[in-house]
Amino acid sequence: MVSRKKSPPVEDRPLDEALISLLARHADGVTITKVRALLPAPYKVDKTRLEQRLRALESSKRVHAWSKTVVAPSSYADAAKRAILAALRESPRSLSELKKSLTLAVKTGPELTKALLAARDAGELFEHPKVPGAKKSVLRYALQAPDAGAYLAPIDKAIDALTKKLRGSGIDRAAIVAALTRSITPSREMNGRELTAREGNGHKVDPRAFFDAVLSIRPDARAHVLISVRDVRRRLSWPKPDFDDLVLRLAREGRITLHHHDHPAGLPISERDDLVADERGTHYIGFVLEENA
Amino acid sequence: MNVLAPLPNPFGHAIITDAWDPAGIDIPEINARAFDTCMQAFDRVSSGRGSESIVLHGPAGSGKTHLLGRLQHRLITHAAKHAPDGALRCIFIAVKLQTSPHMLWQHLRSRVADDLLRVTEGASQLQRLVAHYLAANNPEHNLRSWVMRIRVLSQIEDESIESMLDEVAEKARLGFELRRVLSHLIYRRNLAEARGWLRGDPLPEEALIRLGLAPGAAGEPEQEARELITSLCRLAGDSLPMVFCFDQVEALQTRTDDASAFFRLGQQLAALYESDDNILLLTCLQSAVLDSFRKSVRDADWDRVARKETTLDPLDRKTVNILLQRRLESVPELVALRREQPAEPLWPLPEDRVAELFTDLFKITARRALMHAEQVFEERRSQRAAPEPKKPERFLEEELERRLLFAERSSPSGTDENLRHGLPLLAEALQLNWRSSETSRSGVQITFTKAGKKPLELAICNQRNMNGLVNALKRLLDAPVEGRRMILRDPRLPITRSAATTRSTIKKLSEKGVPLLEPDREVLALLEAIRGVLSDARSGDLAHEGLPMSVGTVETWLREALDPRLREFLDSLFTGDSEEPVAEQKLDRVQDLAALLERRCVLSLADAAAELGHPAPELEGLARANPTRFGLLEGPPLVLFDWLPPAANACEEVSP
Repeated sequence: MVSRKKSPPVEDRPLDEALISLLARHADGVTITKVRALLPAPYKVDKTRLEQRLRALESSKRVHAWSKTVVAPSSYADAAKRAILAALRESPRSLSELKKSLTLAVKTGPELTKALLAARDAGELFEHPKVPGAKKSVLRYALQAPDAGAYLAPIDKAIDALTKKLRGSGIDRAAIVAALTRSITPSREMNGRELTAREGNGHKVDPRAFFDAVLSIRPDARAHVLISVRDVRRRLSWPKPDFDDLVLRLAREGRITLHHHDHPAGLPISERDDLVADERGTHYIGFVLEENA
Repeated sequence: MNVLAPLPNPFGHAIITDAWDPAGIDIPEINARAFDTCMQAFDRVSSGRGSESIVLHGPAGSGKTHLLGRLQHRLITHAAKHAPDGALRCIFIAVKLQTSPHMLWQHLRSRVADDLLRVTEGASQLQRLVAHYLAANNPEHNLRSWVMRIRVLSQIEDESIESMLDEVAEKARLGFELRRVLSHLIYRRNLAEARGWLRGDPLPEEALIRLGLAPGAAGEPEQEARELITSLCRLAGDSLPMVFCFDQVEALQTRTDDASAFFRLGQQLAALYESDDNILLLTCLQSAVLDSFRKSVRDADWDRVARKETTLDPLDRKTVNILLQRRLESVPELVALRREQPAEPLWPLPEDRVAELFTDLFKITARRALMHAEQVFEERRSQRAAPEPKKPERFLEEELERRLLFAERSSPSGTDENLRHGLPLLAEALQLNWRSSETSRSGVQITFTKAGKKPLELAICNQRNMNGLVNALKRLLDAPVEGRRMILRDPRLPITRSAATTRSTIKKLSEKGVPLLEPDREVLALLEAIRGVLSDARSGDLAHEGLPMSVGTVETWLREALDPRLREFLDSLFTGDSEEPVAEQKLDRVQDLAALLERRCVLSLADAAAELGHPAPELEGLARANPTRFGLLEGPPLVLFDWLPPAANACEEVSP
């Protein structure tokens, strides 16, 4: 009779390394049953031991459990965000289109929507609301901000209606558009006046809104991390002069410390314009919040 | 009389290039917050709460390398001097990433080896590491006595130590080769070979045999390097943190939009972080590239690489004053003189000359403050206006000259990295429009492509072990050639006569249109020096008149002032223009002569001809045609010697 030699039981550490190495190849999550099937021969352990090691790794945050049966190398929020952004690289999608395109092991439930909205709030993706008047238009998500022009149909219609009304008074469409432009362009006579909050272009240049935007982009902003001026600028969408003026003012007040770029001349113009420049031509790429921010 | 005239300038040495530079005057107020963040993370790792990672960033000159130096000094140098038990608090590894992104693990391996073998207070980090492990597993002796015991070991193996090392190797799951090499390093036997192996340098067969290792075919170097580092992390165990500091992250890029370089680094750092529970990763980069680094690294890797971020801020007026005052107080004669000027806290520096550096918005870096103060002090000392600032071109010429002195002394073991990092950098800098990509296909390391041209494939074959070399050459022989292919080999690694198979394989490759090209030593030295300048510029560490010089400025200068020898070499690569292919017999004779001189160093032409069995006039012709390879004394008699470049400043040799 041939007796088979039993191989010695595999120790925890090599088993853990094998699990982590396997999970690293399954960023979209994988069921525990499949993990067991995929483990190489020396590491095939019984289900109880496997679950015990996975729980241990989960408690040290090296593995994440997305559900009772699905595990992954990163948290669901991170993986979902990554997968959503990858899907949106191809084209804007509605929520249902997104869900269909994802290869995540778990793609139902409120957590996916939470990840989507968190990415939206962090400025990593944008909502494209339904286009008014377009029959099959739905709310979509995309990596770029929507084109405002797509939403101007009601305004265009209103201008047409007003044109009709005022034709008899000799006012044509061009004159109406010119008057509209004048009424919505903010006054440039702001120099020397203390900025608190002011109206202009439909926004308030308000330090509170500024800091709110900072904290929404980086909840850890008070931990002395560098905040990119470009990220805040895109979140607020204020006119460049207003945004830059506020940033420089906050620096002068000692509420933020600016970090300069050593070679802005080497940047493409579009990237340089994203920075904040002072009157000496020094360009600033970011800032940290000071304690009195 | 100018009282300042005989005094040294206290503001010199503004730039720290290495975390292991001796501690100069440290100002704890500068970057205190970042330092505390690092120390808190270190404390968490050393108390067994798992690995940690921090991304440190700031403007160029804000003191990133200086901060790493402060950490090193606190954790290693200071601890070695003052800790009562001689205990090692951690293993400290500092890595400047002036390398190809496809050689990250190999680069890390060589730096780990160098830092492990640094000696502080009579013992290396490696010796202390082994002592730590032995003390943990053999508590009958305390740590200090293990350190002392290992320091004084003779070259004869001690059975008890050997059996403990075997235990160490088993528990830490060290490979056979590492176990063998550890013995050599602990007993200080075959040090050069053992050190070379640990670094990952290619070693000849006889060196491997001396180490007790089989001179078999080499595996995949990146994978081998990764496994070695992981093994060393295991050797450190749970209670001894390994602190890895990565500096000059930007130097990995060949151009500003090179996302793949950062992507690969992110993967490596994440893998290092995951490799054990006792790792502290510190990654330093300029604030200007933080965004691009973050976007290029995968999210899952970023979570591991940047558990914390911390910023090194430029300095406000108050901190600059502290910095300048401390420097002034470091010169005893100045202290006495300054007491006579109580109303001028920065005497002899005029206040307005310091104030001019600031605006209400702009804060300056420590480097800028020191270099400005150095200049102002010099003006006061010499009582002359500062000389005209050196033109950038002149500065770069001098910088290159200075670096060449060291580059000429570099060893052939660095040639792989020099070529794989330097050639793509230079091709980009010179706007040759040849794009590089790395492959590990069929023995080719780099492929250059350009629209409308056949791709250029470069196989870099610097193996010293002839078995390894012939295997690499055979792979090239078997692989189909898709464009132009060339083999690059360091001329300081001659292929001896006895390597007949190797020589015949080279001949077959040449017949297949795959020539062997041996760049001149001077060309390799130039490439090494230039890639250092470009890397420092990219990392913000090339300072001219106190301000970081842009990589664009360096590239523009290179395009206009490139050394003709290097240009000729690049032409021979990229355009395929070169002299008539060298006859095979002539190539063999060059190799024979090079191998003979490597062995014998100096001998007469007549003796060389007799020993090689080649006509003396032919050997003389070869020597004259290769002046950077062979030295010649006219005599009579005519004497040949193995030419070495002039010595640079003495470099500190590190040993276990």
